[in-house]
Amino acid sequence: MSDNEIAEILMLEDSSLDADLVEEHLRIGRVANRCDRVWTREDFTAALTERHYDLILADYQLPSFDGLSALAIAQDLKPEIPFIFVSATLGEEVAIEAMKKGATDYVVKFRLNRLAGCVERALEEARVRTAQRRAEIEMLESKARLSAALAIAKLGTFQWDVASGRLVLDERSREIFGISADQSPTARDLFERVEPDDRPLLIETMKAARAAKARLEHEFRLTGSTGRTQTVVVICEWMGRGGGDPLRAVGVFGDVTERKAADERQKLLLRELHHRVKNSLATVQSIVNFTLRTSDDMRDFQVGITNRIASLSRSHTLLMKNEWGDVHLRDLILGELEPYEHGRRLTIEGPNVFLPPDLAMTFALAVHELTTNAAKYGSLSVGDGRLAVTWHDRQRECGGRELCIDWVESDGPEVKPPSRRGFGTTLLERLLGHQLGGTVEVAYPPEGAQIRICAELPERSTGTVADHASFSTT
Amino acid sequence: MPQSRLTGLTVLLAEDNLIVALDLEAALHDSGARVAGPAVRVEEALSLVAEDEPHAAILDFNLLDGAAVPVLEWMVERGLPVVICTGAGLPEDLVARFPDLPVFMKPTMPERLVEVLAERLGR
Repeated sequence: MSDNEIAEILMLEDSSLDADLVEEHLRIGRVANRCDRVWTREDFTAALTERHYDLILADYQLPSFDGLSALAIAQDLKPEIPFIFVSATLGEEVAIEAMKKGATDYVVKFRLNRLAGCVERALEEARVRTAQRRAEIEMLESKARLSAALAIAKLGTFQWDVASGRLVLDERSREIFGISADQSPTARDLFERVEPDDRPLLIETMKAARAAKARLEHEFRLTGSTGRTQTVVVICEWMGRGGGDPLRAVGVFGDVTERKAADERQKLLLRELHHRVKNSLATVQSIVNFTLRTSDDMRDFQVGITNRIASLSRSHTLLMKNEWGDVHLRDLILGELEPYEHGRRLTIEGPNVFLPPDLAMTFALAVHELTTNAAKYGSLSVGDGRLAVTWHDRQRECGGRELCIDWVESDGPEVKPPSRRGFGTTLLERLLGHQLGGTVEVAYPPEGAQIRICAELPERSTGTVADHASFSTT
Repeated sequence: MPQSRLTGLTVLLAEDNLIVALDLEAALHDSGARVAGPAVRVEEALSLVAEDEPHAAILDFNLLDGAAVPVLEWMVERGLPVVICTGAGLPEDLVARFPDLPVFMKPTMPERLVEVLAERLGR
């Protein structure tokens, strides 16, 4: 119905006199309306197509058109609009025929005092029908939304009739509980799949919710037929008052195993992150102390500490890129030597070798120290100086395999052995000697410093990383 | 701190972060101590205590091959002072077992650890 309850009426009537009469009766009967009058098939069809009407009043006999054809057109175009015949001549048989074909009612012209009542009733019925249809559509839409929500949330539905024990599970609920489509499970069958440890609390919670008719939301574990333990959440409401309206639980089951596992991973990750940050801070503190001990003045300290922290930072970036997995030796060495890479003075070559995260940081810092020394006193201190870092793995005399890394400087200034062991070689010696069963040989021939680093490699057959504190090859 | 506070004593150092270990070692040397280690594994620390018979120990709690509990037990059984320096803190059961054990969270100044050891050794 249109605004303010004014009925929009389409009147099919060739006689102005009759039309006026009809309108007069509607006015007397207080049917608020706005009326359009047509009398040809074309205008009737056009009006129905173009405008909205709440009611059709049609004469049965027209010069160029007839009422039954009009009814057929209306049924075709707008079947929901009530259609009332208003005619001077309408025998009982014709009237019955018209009603059979879908007319709402009929009024003969010499009994027009019936008209207003007929119109009101037809309009009211149409209103109820419209409301019902709207409710049906809303119900369907709501069902579609619910179904989509259940699918996205991967929830299964259930209904449990408490008195009869009847249990209805949808496909997803059956999947969660491992119940095939041809089984008719009872609540007991579900309980039997719940982890024995979780049963008492589940039963207690259910009883309490049932007694209070309160919404139940509870998590419990299932011992699946597959052997893996699932975590399931149940959410349900209580319906029915008993008797003819049996008490039943209506709700959903959700498998939250993956979400639980993700939560656990997240917690673990946070703890791990905390540990790493603390470890990094401890490392920084030690580097500060060490740098302070070996610096001549504050300026020297500032440069030393900044560069060393920058090296740690680069290692962090590399580790991050590798998702905190093993780091390629080449990337690590390149990270430190990058500023000197121009002019083809560097050779960095070797097979694929990987370092685990903790080792990578320390090793990178050692390479940083060697680079700093080379840049201060060695081949990288002059434009023509060259540096080759190469590595290969080889069979050890005493069995097993080892990785040898050669750091060879050349074309630099003439080299004199330093007065004290540098931080870099100390780090390398300690790192390799203690952690990796390796060795470091340092020589200072006049043409440039030469450092050979050897470290034990785990056997190839043991996989990528045999020990979390050793080099590995793949 | 007097340079000679730990002179003539051997201190076991177990720390798997090599950079931290080097720093602690330098502080121990500064105090006049001889350093056994640094050990990065429990297994290694246990063979060091047997060989070097240290007078005291600075232990990181988590080493490469696990918790340093056996080393801690070895020291405590012999009444030798231990200082724990850890990133993660000590598990509660160990706090209960060793209520007097000084536990420092990383980062802590190495000199502070040496000082506590010296006090425990009555120096």
